[in-house]
Amino acid sequence: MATKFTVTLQASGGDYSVLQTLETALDSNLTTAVVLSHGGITGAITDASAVTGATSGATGTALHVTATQIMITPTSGTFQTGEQIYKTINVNYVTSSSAPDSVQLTVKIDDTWSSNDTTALTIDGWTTGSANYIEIYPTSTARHSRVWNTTTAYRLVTSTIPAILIAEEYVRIYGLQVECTGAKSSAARGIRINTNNATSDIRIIGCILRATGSGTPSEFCNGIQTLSRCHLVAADNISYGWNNGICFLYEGTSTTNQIAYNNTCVDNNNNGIRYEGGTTYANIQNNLCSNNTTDFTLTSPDSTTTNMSGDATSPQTGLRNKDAAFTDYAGDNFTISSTSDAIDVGTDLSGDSYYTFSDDPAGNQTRSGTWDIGAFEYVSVEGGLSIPVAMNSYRQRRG
Amino acid sequence: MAEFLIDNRESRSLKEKGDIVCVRPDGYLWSDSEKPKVIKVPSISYANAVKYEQPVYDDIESKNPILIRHRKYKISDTLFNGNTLDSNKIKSFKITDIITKT
Repeated sequence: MATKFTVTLQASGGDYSVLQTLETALDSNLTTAVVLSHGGITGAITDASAVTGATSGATGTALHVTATQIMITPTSGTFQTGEQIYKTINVNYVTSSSAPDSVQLTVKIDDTWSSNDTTALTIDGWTTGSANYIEIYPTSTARHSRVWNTTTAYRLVTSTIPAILIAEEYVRIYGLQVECTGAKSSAARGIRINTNNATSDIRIIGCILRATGSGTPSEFCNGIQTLSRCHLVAADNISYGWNNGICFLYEGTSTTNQIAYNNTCVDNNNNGIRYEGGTTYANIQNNLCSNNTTDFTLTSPDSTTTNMSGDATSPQTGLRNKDAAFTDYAGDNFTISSTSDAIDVGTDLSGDSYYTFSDDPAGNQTRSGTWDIGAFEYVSVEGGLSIPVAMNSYRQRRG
Repeated sequence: MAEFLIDNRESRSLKEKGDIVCVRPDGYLWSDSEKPKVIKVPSISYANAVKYEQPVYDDIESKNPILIRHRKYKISDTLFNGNTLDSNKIKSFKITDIITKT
Protein backbone atom coordinates (compact mmCIF):
# COMPACT_ATOMS: atom_id res chain seq x y z
CA MET A 1 0.00 0.00 0.00
CA ALA A 2 0.95 3.62 -0.38
CA THR A 3 -0.32 6.87 1.06
CA LYS A 4 -2.50 9.06 -1.09
CA PHE A 5 -0.96 12.45 -1.82
CA THR A 6 -3.78 14.69 -2.96
CA VAL A 7 -3.19 17.84 -4.98
CA THR A 8 -5.94 20.08 -6.28
CA LEU A 9 -6.37 21.48 -9.74
CA GLN A 10 -8.65 24.51 -9.78
CA ALA A 11 -9.21 27.51 -12.00
CA SER A 12 -8.31 29.57 -8.95
CA GLY A 13 -7.21 28.80 -5.44
CA GLY A 14 -5.86 25.29 -6.05
CA ASP A 15 -2.38 23.84 -5.95
CA TYR A 16 -2.24 24.16 -9.74
CA SER A 17 -4.42 25.55 -12.52
CA VAL A 18 -3.06 23.64 -15.53
CA LEU A 19 -2.92 19.85 -15.56
CA GLN A 20 0.37 19.77 -17.45
CA THR A 21 2.11 22.13 -15.03
CA LEU A 22 1.14 19.74 -12.25
CA GLU A 23 2.55 16.80 -14.22
CA THR A 24 5.81 18.63 -14.79
CA ALA A 25 6.12 19.67 -11.15
CA LEU A 26 5.51 16.23 -9.68
CA ASP A 27 6.91 13.70 -12.14
CA SER A 28 9.04 11.35 -10.13
CA ASN A 29 9.54 7.79 -9.01
CA LEU A 30 6.39 7.27 -6.95
CA THR A 31 7.75 4.02 -5.51
CA THR A 32 10.67 5.82 -3.85
CA ALA A 33 9.22 9.29 -3.32
CA VAL A 34 7.65 9.77 0.10
CA VAL A 35 4.69 11.61 1.50
CA LEU A 36 4.37 12.85 5.08
CA SER A 37 1.53 14.65 6.79
CA HIS A 38 2.08 17.97 8.53
CA GLY A 39 0.11 20.51 10.53
CA GLY A 40 0.72 23.58 8.40
CA ILE A 41 3.41 25.49 6.54
CA THR A 42 5.50 28.17 8.19
CA GLY A 43 6.91 30.52 5.58
CA ALA A 44 7.01 29.00 2.11
CA ILE A 45 8.49 25.93 0.48
CA THR A 46 8.28 26.34 -3.27
CA ASP A 47 8.18 23.36 -5.61
CA ALA A 48 11.52 21.65 -6.16
CA SER A 49 13.09 23.15 -3.03
CA ALA A 50 15.90 21.29 -1.28
CA VAL A 51 14.74 20.26 2.19
CA THR A 52 16.35 18.72 5.28
CA GLY A 53 14.98 16.86 8.27
CA ALA A 54 16.12 18.71 11.39
CA THR A 55 16.29 15.56 13.53
CA SER A 56 16.99 12.80 11.04
CA GLY A 57 19.37 14.80 8.91
CA ALA A 58 17.63 13.32 5.87
CA THR A 59 17.72 15.39 2.70
CA GLY A 60 15.63 15.53 -0.41
CA THR A 61 13.72 17.63 -2.90
CA ALA A 62 10.25 18.79 -1.92
CA LEU A 63 8.26 18.36 -5.09
CA HIS A 64 5.21 20.01 -3.60
CA VAL A 65 3.70 20.98 -0.28
CA THR A 66 -0.06 21.10 0.21
CA ALA A 67 -1.81 22.47 3.27
CA THR A 68 -1.57 19.07 4.95
CA GLN A 69 1.06 16.98 3.15
CA ILE A 70 4.56 17.21 1.74
CA MET A 71 5.87 15.05 -1.12
CA ILE A 72 9.62 14.54 -1.22
CA THR A 73 12.09 12.76 -3.45
CA PRO A 74 14.67 11.65 -0.86
CA THR A 75 18.34 12.12 -1.53
CA SER A 76 19.78 10.66 1.67
CA GLY A 77 18.58 9.34 5.00
CA THR A 78 15.01 8.74 6.15
CA PHE A 79 12.66 11.51 7.21
CA GLN A 80 10.73 10.83 10.37
CA THR A 81 7.60 11.86 12.16
CA GLY A 82 7.70 14.81 14.54
CA GLU A 83 10.61 16.61 12.96
CA GLN A 84 10.93 19.94 11.28
CA ILE A 85 11.43 19.50 7.55
CA TYR A 86 12.85 22.74 6.40
CA LYS A 87 13.97 24.72 3.42
CA THR A 88 15.35 27.34 5.81
CA ILE A 89 15.45 26.18 9.41
CA ASN A 90 12.88 27.87 11.65
CA VAL A 91 11.80 30.08 8.73
CA ASN A 92 10.41 27.97 5.89
CA TYR A 93 9.34 24.58 7.18
CA VAL A 94 6.69 22.04 8.09
CA THR A 95 6.64 19.71 11.09
CA SER A 96 5.90 16.16 10.04
CA SER A 97 3.13 14.30 11.80
CA SER A 98 3.48 10.91 10.14
CA ALA A 99 6.18 8.53 9.09
CA PRO A 100 7.14 8.65 5.41
CA ASP A 101 5.33 6.34 3.01
CA SER A 102 5.46 5.80 -0.74
CA VAL A 103 3.09 7.81 -2.87
CA GLN A 104 -0.18 7.21 -4.66
CA LEU A 105 -0.81 10.49 -6.43
CA THR A 106 -4.36 11.76 -6.62
CA VAL A 107 -5.19 14.83 -8.67
CA LYS A 108 -8.50 16.21 -7.52
CA ILE A 109 -9.99 18.63 -10.02
CA ASP A 110 -12.34 20.92 -8.21
CA ASP A 111 -14.43 24.06 -8.43
CA THR A 112 -16.05 25.44 -11.57
CA TRP A 113 -14.23 26.11 -14.83
CA SER A 114 -15.29 29.01 -17.02
CA SER A 115 -12.35 28.52 -19.39
CA ASN A 116 -10.74 25.52 -21.05
CA ASP A 117 -7.45 24.01 -20.01
CA THR A 118 -5.74 24.36 -23.39
CA THR A 119 -2.45 22.55 -22.80
CA ALA A 120 -2.17 18.91 -23.81
CA LEU A 121 -1.26 16.47 -21.05
CA THR A 122 1.78 14.24 -21.45
CA ILE A 123 2.32 11.76 -18.63
CA ASP A 124 5.88 10.65 -19.14
CA GLY A 125 9.07 10.23 -17.14
CA TRP A 126 7.48 8.74 -14.00
CA THR A 127 7.96 5.45 -12.25
CA THR A 128 4.59 4.13 -11.17
CA GLY A 129 3.49 0.86 -9.60
CA SER A 130 0.38 -1.12 -8.79
CA ALA A 131 0.08 0.72 -5.45
CA ASN A 132 1.89 3.82 -6.64
CA TYR A 133 -0.43 4.91 -9.41
CA ILE A 134 -1.59 8.27 -10.71
CA GLU A 135 -5.28 9.02 -10.39
CA ILE A 136 -7.03 12.02 -11.90
CA TYR A 137 -10.65 12.79 -11.21
CA PRO A 138 -13.00 15.76 -11.00
CA THR A 139 -15.27 16.33 -8.04
CA SER A 140 -18.99 16.63 -8.62
CA THR A 141 -18.58 20.40 -9.07
CA ALA A 142 -15.98 20.04 -11.82
CA ARG A 143 -17.43 17.00 -13.52
CA HIS A 144 -19.63 16.77 -16.60
CA SER A 145 -23.12 15.36 -16.26
CA ARG A 146 -22.66 12.86 -19.08
CA VAL A 147 -23.14 15.54 -21.73
CA TRP A 148 -20.38 17.94 -22.83
CA ASN A 149 -20.36 20.91 -20.50
CA THR A 150 -18.83 24.17 -21.74
CA THR A 151 -19.59 26.37 -18.77
CA THR A 152 -18.66 24.81 -15.44
CA ALA A 153 -17.01 21.39 -15.81
CA TYR A 154 -13.29 20.89 -16.34
CA ARG A 155 -12.41 20.37 -20.00
CA LEU A 156 -9.13 19.81 -21.75
CA VAL A 157 -9.44 21.38 -25.20
CA THR A 158 -6.32 21.48 -27.30
CA SER A 159 -5.06 21.42 -30.86
CA THR A 160 -2.00 19.44 -29.78
CA ILE A 161 -2.00 15.80 -30.85
CA PRO A 162 -2.64 13.76 -28.81
CA ALA A 163 -4.64 15.67 -26.24
CA ILE A 164 -3.44 13.19 -23.60
CA LEU A 165 -0.50 10.84 -23.87
CA ILE A 166 -0.11 8.19 -21.19
CA ALA A 167 3.37 6.73 -21.36
CA GLU A 168 3.36 5.25 -17.85
CA GLU A 169 2.05 1.93 -16.62
CA TYR A 170 -0.32 2.73 -13.78
CA VAL A 171 -2.64 5.63 -14.52
CA ARG A 172 -6.35 6.08 -13.88
CA ILE A 173 -8.36 8.88 -15.44
CA TYR A 174 -11.97 9.41 -14.47
CA GLY A 175 -14.63 11.75 -15.75
CA LEU A 176 -12.61 14.16 -17.90
CA GLN A 177 -13.87 16.01 -20.93
CA VAL A 178 -11.24 15.80 -23.65
CA GLU A 179 -11.50 17.56 -26.99
CA CYS A 180 -8.85 17.53 -29.68
CA THR A 181 -9.25 20.41 -32.14
CA GLY A 182 -6.21 19.35 -34.16
CA ALA A 183 -6.75 18.31 -37.76
CA LYS A 184 -8.49 14.97 -37.95
CA SER A 185 -6.67 14.41 -41.19
CA SER A 186 -3.40 14.61 -39.21
CA ALA A 187 -4.33 11.83 -36.82
CA ALA A 188 -5.84 13.91 -34.03
CA ARG A 189 -6.16 11.71 -30.96
CA GLY A 190 -7.95 12.00 -27.65
CA ILE A 191 -6.18 9.71 -25.19
CA ARG A 192 -3.29 7.67 -26.51
CA ILE A 193 -1.77 5.00 -24.31
CA ASN A 194 1.75 3.84 -24.99
CA THR A 195 3.24 1.56 -22.38
CA ASN A 196 5.25 -1.62 -22.71
CA ASN A 197 4.53 -3.31 -19.43
CA ALA A 198 2.45 -6.46 -19.61
CA THR A 199 1.24 -5.95 -16.06
CA SER A 200 0.29 -2.32 -16.57
CA ASP A 201 -3.06 -1.06 -15.35
CA ILE A 202 -4.52 1.85 -17.27
CA ARG A 203 -8.10 2.88 -16.60
CA ILE A 204 -10.05 5.38 -18.63
CA ILE A 205 -13.44 5.70 -17.02
CA GLY A 206 -16.42 7.98 -17.55
CA CYS A 207 -14.74 10.41 -19.93
CA ILE A 208 -16.22 12.29 -22.84
CA LEU A 209 -13.89 12.39 -25.83
CA ARG A 210 -14.61 14.30 -28.99
CA ALA A 211 -12.78 15.38 -32.12
CA THR A 212 -13.67 18.70 -33.66
CA GLY A 213 -10.74 19.43 -35.96
CA SER A 214 -10.79 19.80 -39.71
CA GLY A 215 -10.62 17.20 -42.44
CA THR A 216 -11.58 13.57 -42.79
CA PRO A 217 -10.22 11.48 -39.92
CA SER A 218 -7.11 9.57 -40.86
CA GLU A 219 -6.51 5.98 -39.78
CA PHE A 220 -5.09 6.73 -36.34
CA CYS A 221 -7.43 9.57 -35.41
CA ASN A 222 -8.91 7.75 -32.42
CA GLY A 223 -10.73 8.75 -29.25
CA ILE A 224 -8.94 6.19 -27.10
CA GLN A 225 -6.07 4.36 -28.69
CA THR A 226 -3.92 1.68 -27.21
CA LEU A 227 -1.59 -1.04 -28.41
CA SER A 228 -2.00 -4.77 -27.87
CA ARG A 229 0.87 -4.79 -25.38
CA CYS A 230 -0.99 -2.56 -22.92
CA HIS A 231 -3.53 -3.52 -20.29
CA LEU A 232 -6.43 -1.10 -20.56
CA VAL A 233 -9.87 -0.85 -19.03
CA ALA A 234 -12.09 1.60 -20.92
CA ALA A 235 -15.50 1.89 -19.32
CA ASP A 236 -18.44 4.28 -19.35
CA ASN A 237 -16.82 6.59 -21.90
CA ILE A 238 -18.58 8.56 -24.60
CA SER A 239 -16.50 8.95 -27.75
CA TYR A 240 -17.51 10.72 -30.95
CA GLY A 241 -16.16 12.43 -34.04
CA TRP A 242 -13.02 10.28 -34.49
CA ASN A 243 -11.98 7.63 -36.96
CA ASN A 244 -12.50 5.00 -34.26
CA GLY A 245 -14.18 5.82 -30.97
CA ILE A 246 -12.08 3.27 -29.09
CA CYS A 247 -9.29 1.43 -30.85
CA PHE A 248 -7.23 -1.48 -29.58
CA LEU A 249 -4.44 -1.69 -32.13
CA TYR A 250 -2.49 -4.86 -32.76
CA GLU A 251 1.22 -4.19 -32.41
CA GLY A 252 2.83 -7.59 -32.65
CA THR A 253 3.35 -8.16 -28.93
CA SER A 254 0.43 -9.37 -26.92
CA THR A 255 -0.37 -8.90 -23.28
CA THR A 256 -3.38 -9.58 -21.12
CA ASN A 257 -6.60 -7.88 -20.30
CA GLN A 258 -8.01 -5.34 -22.66
CA ILE A 259 -11.44 -4.39 -21.50
CA ALA A 260 -14.22 -2.26 -22.98
CA TYR A 261 -17.33 -2.06 -20.83
CA ASN A 262 -20.39 0.13 -21.23
CA ASN A 263 -18.97 2.67 -23.64
CA THR A 264 -21.06 4.72 -26.05
CA CYS A 265 -19.40 5.44 -29.40
CA VAL A 266 -21.20 7.54 -31.97
CA ASP A 267 -20.49 9.31 -35.25
CA ASN A 268 -17.02 7.89 -35.78
CA ASN A 269 -15.80 7.76 -39.34
CA ASN A 270 -14.67 4.15 -39.24
CA ASN A 271 -15.59 2.08 -36.18
CA GLY A 272 -17.29 2.74 -32.91
CA ILE A 273 -15.06 0.11 -31.28
CA ARG A 274 -12.20 -1.54 -33.11
CA TYR A 275 -10.30 -4.47 -31.64
CA GLU A 276 -7.53 -5.84 -33.82
CA GLY A 277 -6.70 -8.94 -31.80
CA GLY A 278 -3.37 -10.10 -30.42
CA THR A 279 -4.33 -9.86 -26.78
CA THR A 280 -4.30 -12.84 -24.44
CA TYR A 281 -7.59 -11.79 -22.92
CA ALA A 282 -9.97 -9.23 -24.40
CA ASN A 283 -13.44 -8.64 -23.08
CA ILE A 284 -15.96 -6.43 -24.86
CA GLN A 285 -19.26 -6.05 -23.02
CA ASN A 286 -22.29 -3.78 -22.81
CA ASN A 287 -21.06 -1.29 -25.40
CA LEU A 288 -23.41 0.81 -27.48
CA CYS A 289 -22.24 1.85 -30.93
CA SER A 290 -24.47 3.74 -33.30
CA ASN A 291 -24.18 5.94 -36.38
CA ASN A 292 -20.57 4.97 -37.00
CA THR A 293 -19.61 3.86 -40.50
CA THR A 294 -19.14 0.40 -38.99
CA ASP A 295 -20.19 0.08 -35.38
CA PHE A 296 -18.01 -2.88 -34.35
CA THR A 297 -14.92 -4.45 -35.88
CA LEU A 298 -13.74 -7.09 -33.43
CA THR A 299 -11.05 -9.63 -34.27
CA SER A 300 -11.57 -12.71 -32.13
CA PRO A 301 -12.03 -11.22 -28.66
CA ASP A 302 -12.17 -13.79 -25.87
CA SER A 303 -15.47 -12.64 -24.53
CA THR A 304 -18.28 -10.46 -25.80
CA THR A 305 -21.72 -10.11 -24.36
CA THR A 306 -24.61 -7.75 -24.94
CA ASN A 307 -23.08 -5.18 -27.28
CA MET A 308 -25.62 -3.22 -29.30
CA SER A 309 -25.21 -1.76 -32.75
CA GLY A 310 -27.28 0.39 -35.04
CA ASP A 311 -25.97 -1.63 -37.95
CA ALA A 312 -25.42 -5.36 -38.44
CA THR A 313 -22.00 -5.60 -36.78
CA SER A 314 -22.72 -6.34 -33.11
CA PRO A 315 -21.22 -9.70 -32.16
CA GLN A 316 -24.61 -10.50 -30.64
CA THR A 317 -27.04 -11.14 -33.44
CA GLY A 318 -30.02 -10.24 -31.30
CA LEU A 319 -28.62 -6.78 -30.66
CA ARG A 320 -28.01 -5.74 -34.26
CA ASN A 321 -29.83 -2.98 -36.13
CA LYS A 322 -31.19 -1.54 -32.90
CA ASP A 323 -32.35 1.97 -32.12
CA ALA A 324 -30.31 3.72 -29.44
CA ALA A 325 -32.93 6.49 -29.28
CA PHE A 326 -30.53 9.10 -28.00
CA THR A 327 -32.07 11.98 -26.10
CA ASP A 328 -30.75 14.61 -28.53
CA TYR A 329 -28.55 13.09 -31.20
CA ALA A 330 -28.17 16.36 -33.14
CA GLY A 331 -27.16 18.14 -29.96
CA ASP A 332 -24.58 15.47 -28.99
CA ASN A 333 -26.62 14.37 -26.02
CA PHE A 334 -26.10 10.62 -26.16
CA THR A 335 -28.05 9.76 -23.05
CA ILE A 336 -30.79 7.35 -23.94
CA SER A 337 -34.50 8.07 -23.99
CA SER A 338 -37.37 5.89 -22.84
CA THR A 339 -37.76 4.16 -26.20
CA SER A 340 -34.13 3.05 -26.45
CA ASP A 341 -33.48 -0.59 -27.29
CA ALA A 342 -30.50 -0.40 -24.91
CA ILE A 343 -32.65 -0.38 -21.81
CA ASP A 344 -32.55 -3.47 -19.58
CA VAL A 345 -30.68 -5.72 -22.00
CA GLY A 346 -27.16 -5.39 -20.60
CA THR A 347 -25.06 -7.75 -18.53
CA ASP A 348 -24.64 -7.13 -14.81
CA LEU A 349 -20.93 -6.46 -14.36
CA SER A 350 -21.07 -5.48 -10.71
CA GLY A 351 -19.16 -8.62 -9.76
CA ASP A 352 -16.70 -8.43 -12.61
CA SER A 353 -13.22 -9.60 -11.70
CA TYR A 354 -11.40 -7.24 -14.07
CA TYR A 355 -13.00 -3.94 -13.23
CA THR A 356 -15.17 -2.87 -10.33
CA PHE A 357 -17.45 -0.06 -11.35
CA SER A 358 -17.73 1.21 -7.78
CA ASP A 359 -14.03 2.15 -7.90
CA ASP A 360 -14.82 5.46 -9.57
CA PRO A 361 -13.87 8.08 -6.96
CA ALA A 362 -16.44 10.52 -8.30
CA GLY A 363 -19.16 7.96 -7.66
CA ASN A 364 -20.76 8.48 -11.00
CA GLN A 365 -20.97 4.93 -12.28
CA THR A 366 -23.59 3.39 -10.04
CA ARG A 367 -26.10 1.11 -11.70
CA SER A 368 -29.03 -0.78 -10.33
CA GLY A 369 -31.49 -3.40 -11.45
CA THR A 370 -31.05 -4.83 -14.90
CA TRP A 371 -28.19 -3.03 -16.56
CA ASP A 372 -28.60 -1.00 -19.74
CA ILE A 373 -26.12 -1.03 -22.59
CA GLY A 374 -23.83 1.94 -23.11
CA ALA A 375 -22.53 4.67 -20.83
CA PHE A 376 -25.93 5.56 -19.44
CA GLU A 377 -28.35 3.75 -17.22
CA TYR A 378 -31.89 4.90 -17.77
CA VAL A 379 -34.48 5.23 -15.05
CA SER A 380 -37.91 6.74 -15.05
CA VAL A 381 -38.48 8.93 -12.03
CA GLU A 382 -41.54 10.44 -10.44
CA GLY A 383 -43.65 12.63 -12.66
CA GLY A 384 -42.55 10.91 -15.79
CA LEU A 385 -39.30 12.79 -16.04
CA SER A 386 -36.53 10.46 -17.14
CA ILE A 387 -32.86 10.99 -16.48
CA PRO A 388 -29.82 8.79 -16.66
CA VAL A 389 -29.31 6.91 -13.41
CA ALA A 390 -25.72 8.06 -13.35
CA MET A 391 -26.92 11.63 -12.95
CA ASN A 392 -29.60 10.56 -10.51
CA SER A 393 -27.16 8.71 -8.31
CA TYR A 394 -24.72 11.53 -8.56
CA ARG A 395 -27.26 14.04 -7.34
CA GLN A 396 -28.36 11.85 -4.48
CA ARG A 397 -24.81 11.36 -3.31
CA ARG A 398 -23.51 14.86 -3.80
CA GLY A 399 -26.62 16.90 -3.25
CA MET B 1 1.07 39.60 -24.56
CA ALA B 2 1.68 36.17 -23.17
CA GLU B 3 3.00 34.45 -20.10
CA PHE B 4 5.04 31.25 -20.18
CA LEU B 5 5.31 28.69 -17.40
CA ILE B 6 8.81 27.24 -17.43
CA ASP B 7 10.04 23.90 -16.13
CA ASN B 8 12.39 24.95 -13.33
CA ARG B 9 13.48 21.47 -12.26
CA GLU B 10 16.70 19.82 -13.28
CA SER B 11 16.56 18.08 -16.64
CA ARG B 12 15.22 14.54 -16.50
CA SER B 13 14.10 11.96 -19.03
CA LEU B 14 12.60 13.86 -21.96
CA LYS B 15 12.09 17.05 -19.96
CA GLU B 16 14.69 19.83 -19.82
CA LYS B 17 15.15 22.65 -17.37
CA GLY B 18 13.83 25.74 -19.14
CA ASP B 19 11.19 23.95 -21.21
CA ILE B 20 8.16 26.07 -22.01
CA VAL B 21 5.51 23.93 -20.34
CA CYS B 22 2.49 26.05 -21.09
CA VAL B 23 1.46 29.41 -22.46
CA ARG B 24 -1.37 31.58 -21.23
CA PRO B 25 -2.64 35.09 -22.00
CA ASP B 26 -1.21 37.97 -20.04
CA GLY B 27 -2.87 38.31 -16.66
CA TYR B 28 -3.79 34.63 -16.38
CA LEU B 29 -4.67 33.56 -12.84
CA TRP B 30 -1.78 31.25 -11.95
CA SER B 31 -1.75 29.36 -8.67
CA ASP B 32 0.75 30.28 -5.96
CA SER B 33 2.76 27.17 -6.82
CA GLU B 34 2.90 28.12 -10.48
CA LYS B 35 3.89 31.78 -10.15
CA PRO B 36 7.56 31.11 -9.35
CA LYS B 37 7.83 29.39 -12.74
CA VAL B 38 6.11 32.03 -14.87
CA ILE B 39 7.75 34.67 -17.06
CA LYS B 40 6.30 37.51 -19.10
CA VAL B 41 6.78 37.69 -22.85
CA PRO B 42 5.03 40.91 -23.88
CA SER B 43 6.33 41.01 -27.43
CA ILE B 44 4.13 38.20 -28.69
CA SER B 45 0.39 37.65 -28.77
CA TYR B 46 -1.08 34.67 -26.99
CA ALA B 47 -2.39 33.28 -30.29
CA ASN B 48 1.09 33.33 -31.76
CA ALA B 49 2.71 32.00 -28.60
CA VAL B 50 0.68 28.81 -28.22
CA LYS B 51 2.97 26.98 -30.63
CA TYR B 52 5.76 27.16 -28.03
CA GLU B 53 4.12 24.50 -25.88
CA GLN B 54 4.43 21.81 -28.54
CA PRO B 55 6.03 18.43 -27.79
CA VAL B 56 8.21 16.70 -30.35
CA TYR B 57 7.23 13.32 -31.83
CA ASP B 58 9.03 11.37 -34.52
CA ASP B 59 5.94 11.08 -36.71
CA ILE B 60 2.65 12.04 -35.12
CA GLU B 61 0.62 10.58 -37.98
CA SER B 62 2.11 7.11 -37.62
CA LYS B 63 0.56 4.16 -35.80
CA ASN B 64 2.88 4.45 -32.83
CA PRO B 65 4.42 7.93 -32.59
CA ILE B 66 7.48 8.13 -30.36
CA LEU B 67 7.81 11.11 -28.02
CA ILE B 68 11.26 12.56 -28.62
CA ARG B 69 11.17 15.62 -26.38
CA HIS B 70 8.65 16.92 -23.95
CA ARG B 71 8.95 20.35 -25.50
CA LYS B 72 10.40 21.78 -28.67
CA TYR B 73 11.15 25.19 -27.15
CA LYS B 74 12.89 26.39 -24.01
CA ILE B 75 14.32 29.44 -22.28
CA SER B 76 17.93 29.36 -21.17
CA ASP B 77 18.55 28.75 -17.46
CA THR B 78 20.50 31.94 -17.00
CA LEU B 79 17.76 34.12 -18.41
CA PHE B 80 15.00 32.34 -16.54
CA ASN B 81 16.67 32.34 -13.15
CA GLY B 82 14.75 34.55 -10.73
CA ASN B 83 12.92 36.57 -13.39
CA THR B 84 9.55 35.13 -12.56
CA LEU B 85 6.11 36.45 -11.83
CA ASP B 86 6.53 36.19 -8.07
CA SER B 87 9.85 38.04 -7.95
CA ASN B 88 10.58 41.72 -7.52
CA LYS B 89 12.58 41.94 -10.73
CA ILE B 90 10.25 40.81 -13.47
CA LYS B 91 12.08 40.79 -16.76
CA SER B 92 10.29 41.18 -20.08
CA PHE B 93 11.41 38.33 -22.23
CA LYS B 94 11.65 38.58 -26.00
CA ILE B 95 10.99 36.10 -28.75
CA THR B 96 14.72 36.01 -29.35
CA ASP B 97 15.16 34.57 -25.85
CA ILE B 98 13.34 31.41 -26.94
CA ILE B 99 15.57 28.53 -27.94
CA THR B 100 14.47 26.00 -30.52
CA LYS B 101 15.87 22.65 -29.47
CA THR B 102 17.54 20.52 -32.09
